[in-house]
Amino acid sequence: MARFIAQRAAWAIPVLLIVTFLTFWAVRSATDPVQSYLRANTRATPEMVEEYKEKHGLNGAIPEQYFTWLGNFLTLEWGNSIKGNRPVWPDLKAAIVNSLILGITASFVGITIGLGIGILSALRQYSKFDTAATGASFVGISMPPFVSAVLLQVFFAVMITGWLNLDKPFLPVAGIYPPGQTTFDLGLRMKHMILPVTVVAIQIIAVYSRYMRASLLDVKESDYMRTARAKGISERRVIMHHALRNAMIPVVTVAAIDFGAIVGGLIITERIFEFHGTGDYLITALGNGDFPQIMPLMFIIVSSVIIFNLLADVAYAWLDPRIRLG
Amino acid sequence: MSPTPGSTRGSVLVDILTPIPGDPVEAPVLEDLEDLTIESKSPTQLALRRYRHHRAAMISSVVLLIIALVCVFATFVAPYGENEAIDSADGGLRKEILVPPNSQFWFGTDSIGRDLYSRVLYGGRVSLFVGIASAISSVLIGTAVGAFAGFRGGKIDNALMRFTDLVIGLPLLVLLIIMRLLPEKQPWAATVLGEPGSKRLMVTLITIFAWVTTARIVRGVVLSLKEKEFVEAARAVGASDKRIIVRHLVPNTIGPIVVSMTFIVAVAIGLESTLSYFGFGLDPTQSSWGNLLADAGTSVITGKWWLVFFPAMILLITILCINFMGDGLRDALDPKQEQKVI
Amino acid sequence: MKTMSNRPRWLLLLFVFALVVAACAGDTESTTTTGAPDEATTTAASGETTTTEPAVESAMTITVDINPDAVWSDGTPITAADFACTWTASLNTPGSIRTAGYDQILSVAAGASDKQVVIEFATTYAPYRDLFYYVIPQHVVTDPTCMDISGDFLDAYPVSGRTWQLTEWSLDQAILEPNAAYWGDDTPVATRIVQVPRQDDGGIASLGAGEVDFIFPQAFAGITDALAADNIQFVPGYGTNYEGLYFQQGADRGGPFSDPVFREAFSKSIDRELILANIYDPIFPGSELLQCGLWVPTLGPWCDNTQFVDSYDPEGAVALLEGEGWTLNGDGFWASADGTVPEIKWMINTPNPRREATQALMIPEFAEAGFNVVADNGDADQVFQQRLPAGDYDLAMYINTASPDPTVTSVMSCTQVPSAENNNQGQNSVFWCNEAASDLMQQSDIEVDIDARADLIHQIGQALVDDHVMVPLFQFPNVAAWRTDRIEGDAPGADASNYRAFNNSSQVWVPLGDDTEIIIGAEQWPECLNPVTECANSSWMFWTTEAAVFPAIWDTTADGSYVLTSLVTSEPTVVINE
Repeated sequence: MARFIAQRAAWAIPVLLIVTFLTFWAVRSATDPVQSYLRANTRATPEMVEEYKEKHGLNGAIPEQYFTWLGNFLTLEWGNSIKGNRPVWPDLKAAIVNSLILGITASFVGITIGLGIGILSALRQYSKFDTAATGASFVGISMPPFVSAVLLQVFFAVMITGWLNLDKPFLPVAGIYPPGQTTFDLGLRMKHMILPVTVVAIQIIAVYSRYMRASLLDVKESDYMRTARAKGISERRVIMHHALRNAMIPVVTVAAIDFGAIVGGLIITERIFEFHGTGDYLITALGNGDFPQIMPLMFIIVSSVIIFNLLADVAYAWLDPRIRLG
Repeated sequence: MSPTPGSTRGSVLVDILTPIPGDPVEAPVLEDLEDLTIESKSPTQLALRRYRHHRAAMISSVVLLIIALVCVFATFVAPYGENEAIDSADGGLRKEILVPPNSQFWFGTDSIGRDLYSRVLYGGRVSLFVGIASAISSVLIGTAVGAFAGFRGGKIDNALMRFTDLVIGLPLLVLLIIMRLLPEKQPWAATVLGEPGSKRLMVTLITIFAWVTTARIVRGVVLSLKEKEFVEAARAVGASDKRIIVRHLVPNTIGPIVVSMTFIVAVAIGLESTLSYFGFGLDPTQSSWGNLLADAGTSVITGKWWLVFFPAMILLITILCINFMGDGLRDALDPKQEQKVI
Repeated sequence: MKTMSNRPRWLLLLFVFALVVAACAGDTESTTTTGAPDEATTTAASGETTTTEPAVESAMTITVDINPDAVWSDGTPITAADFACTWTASLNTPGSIRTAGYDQILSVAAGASDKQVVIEFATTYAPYRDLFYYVIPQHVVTDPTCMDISGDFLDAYPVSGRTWQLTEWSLDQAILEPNAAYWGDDTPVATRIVQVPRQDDGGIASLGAGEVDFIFPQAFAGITDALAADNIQFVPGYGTNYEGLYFQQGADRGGPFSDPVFREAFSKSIDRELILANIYDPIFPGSELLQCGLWVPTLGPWCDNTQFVDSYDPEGAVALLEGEGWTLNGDGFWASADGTVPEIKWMINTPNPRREATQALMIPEFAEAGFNVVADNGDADQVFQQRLPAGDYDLAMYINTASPDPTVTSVMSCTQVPSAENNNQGQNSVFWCNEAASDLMQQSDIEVDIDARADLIHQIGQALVDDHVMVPLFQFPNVAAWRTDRIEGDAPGADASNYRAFNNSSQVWVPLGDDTEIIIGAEQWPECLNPVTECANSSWMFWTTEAAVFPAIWDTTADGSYVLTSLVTSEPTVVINE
């Protein structure tokens, strides 16, 4: 197993460098930092533009620019944004924290419920529950999230508040905290997360329930299950000890990769619920052509994906006895 | 492989495009006495039979066919033009703005007096075109690459797997938006990929990321088929690699490929609508379903519910039907199933 | 003008003499819209002036007497040094967008004491009341010479010189609390003003749900229905934004509108009433078209609201074209005598549902009238930052903001046509050059008498009509909507629909019941708080936050008049030097 992991890990660094280089090149081509700088500083002299370019390593060939940028990035000199001239890190950190909180909570809720539904569906195949769950999960997969987000927002925040004639909204319309909140309050934080988490969780539940169901069904009918039953082990033990464990293997590896994608943010949900995370941050930065804001985030996202891919491989290796012991 | 609900995370493709094993088929019951006769059915007929058993897929096929026909023949079916602002009945300067659904305008009218029903029909052409074109080109590229990698095995296969793992995990929406900005800033990108806001650019962008999933599926199937006896036999007879791939392997991958293709259509349509909603999609002059939703904003709040309801419903139904069809096709065409029907 | 009526008559004669001299001397404007920071003068806090250029005669002197009680919230008195800092920073900060007017100032120095400010101008700058509406505290900026304040005020206002102080600002909310050190009488009733970002319909949803008390939504068709509720009241007041169609007529751009005949014919073929009926009337039933060029009737006497009334004249257009040898070709489009059919590229920024709707409405109409108009759109960045300044369009549709001061010299004069001389930074993106009108513009800038000035402005307006530079469409209402069960206003009226309603929130808005806060949903949220750089381009940020914290000499009211604030003890004296 150690060899397996080492093999995979050896790939990680070169892949990271190549992918970030490609990203750098794509972002650099899609946004022009010099242009953005000129827009924010309409009266800049050619000398000032040159100085800006020198300072940020915007001269020279793309690979050269990439390594200059990489050097700055790794030494944590991330500079200021172009438009607001604010340091990049504090805003980015706040955005990442928000996205992580939303993503991790939604993932836990979604995966737990999804797995539960999937297992039940598999155990009661073709029952009413199964049919209903299948139908619901297809709807969940097919509905574009911006539709469900807006519908939920309108229904729970506006309509119910109106019907019940409440003073404060039944569920918050948007934001991380109610307006005016300056201190940390766990209860309020959680209340404001209910709708965004629901929107995301719907999709996660739909996908994971289908996946778990199929995986468990696959395992349930396989040969070694038949052997276990033939040996006289109770059906319950068969399922709990053997089937589930084996069915979980692909699900776990998949979940690991999912977690890697969390830091990339959820653009739609964040926009609609004013939940300022990395998705929103990125869209705004892209719109402004704000290169110093875009690249560090892209690097972090790519790193996260690669690292969690590696973790998924490790998890798979450890869980699959054929690899662990082989 | 990760079933990330992409439209929220960014990796849209991964969720449905990974090969989820289908339901094991129940053993045939004795009523199917025909099965006990000597007359054998061709694989196609068996597949069709299995497909017919999947009720949801059957209903979806019919619904989808109706939608597709009506949209394709929109010029004849639609009562009004795509961008025609309808003059008001009383002859004033003002057009028929924001009329709720009635007998004349089945889906109501929008904010400048265009018939929403007609726009939905015309929009279907755009959305369906984007979906199908993306799927076809993704599948072509993916099949070629996947078959080659699976057949060759070894280092090439390894490299492909690492590559696809990576691509699948990356936040798709983010990358799409970045790439969408490229043609605006760089003229060379506009010629290669397509003009900003054009259907061609949308299809190209989706294809760039979607072929990966087909490649994985095909590679998996080819890998499992490689070990089968008929391949060994073909080799023993002296068939070349190319002949083996084309004559023996590819026909057996048709099933998963078709399944993959239907799912890509669904995902592509969803992606296009999401991008258009945020203004990164198609040109607003094209009435794709995503653009219609973008136009409507959240008109639910303003009471103009029909502007959101009808495009959203048609979008949902179409994607749902495609997903069900894909599920049915997978059940019908899964090579594993063939062995179980005795 | 009040000040003028007290002056002896001989000064008036001197002033007329000065005008004549100025007119004969030609272009005295210095265009510092591009290039190097102004290195002409520097002023130290003590009031000494050092110049590196030959001394320019001061044409106008303004003396301001600062209120002796005026202090910043940390106790430091507000002095002439702060005014000097404001001038230096506005002019020299690299990203500053607030140079207009400050480039006419020669020096800002302390007078009899440091509570008196003496400002010397190089010309008789008429719109002087638009200056110093944000006085910068010199003692908190990193650079004591105030040459570059782009690194300050990024996410906080450390001190306040007015009714409110900013206690918290992030990308999620801004909180204003009463400034205890404020010396004026108008102290607020509310204990806090909280602002949160709520875009578009999110704002309306928030208002309906009671999450916010007050919003300024963008007007859209159906907004009246959206805001219809028992506990919501809204006021559409005429704001200072107006939308129009602009024709790019640069001769060397080669566009179809460089031909004055074609341009006039097209202008006469625009059925503005149709646009009103289908685009603007649904927003606010009963609205009317705007009939003057670059001003609005509700802000000062500058707008002659009759000038464009007869702009729609389709028969006249046909006669004009046929007279010049144009004929309708097989497709129904006008072809010139040599057979070319001009293609008119209509540029708007997307996404923008209202403008897209206008295009969808009018392009078929134009085709019927014989004009081949095609949509050629881009995103806001492309349109406003690249293509408009470069003249890369034929027909454009966008919103401009009228200021209480009518000067259009900086956007419409001949010298503002983008060219090598101004580093292609000129603001005249329609490439209109009318020498006579340009002269009128410069005259109006130094004409201090309001009636005479209004007359000059009206003449410039007529030139806009005659030269077919643009057609105005609609003066946009600002919409203010609030929960009547949360806050009440003291005769809000027109003030409500102006963002600056919260400037005087102590008088205008009062929270009801136990609630002592006012919560506002903001549909713009700037990237930073700097009062002179790009961040300040957000009028939302300015009116609701900056203006609540920074002291100013005058406040503008919703109808364009100026009132003194408690920063000064009396109206500043203005002396026209010879």
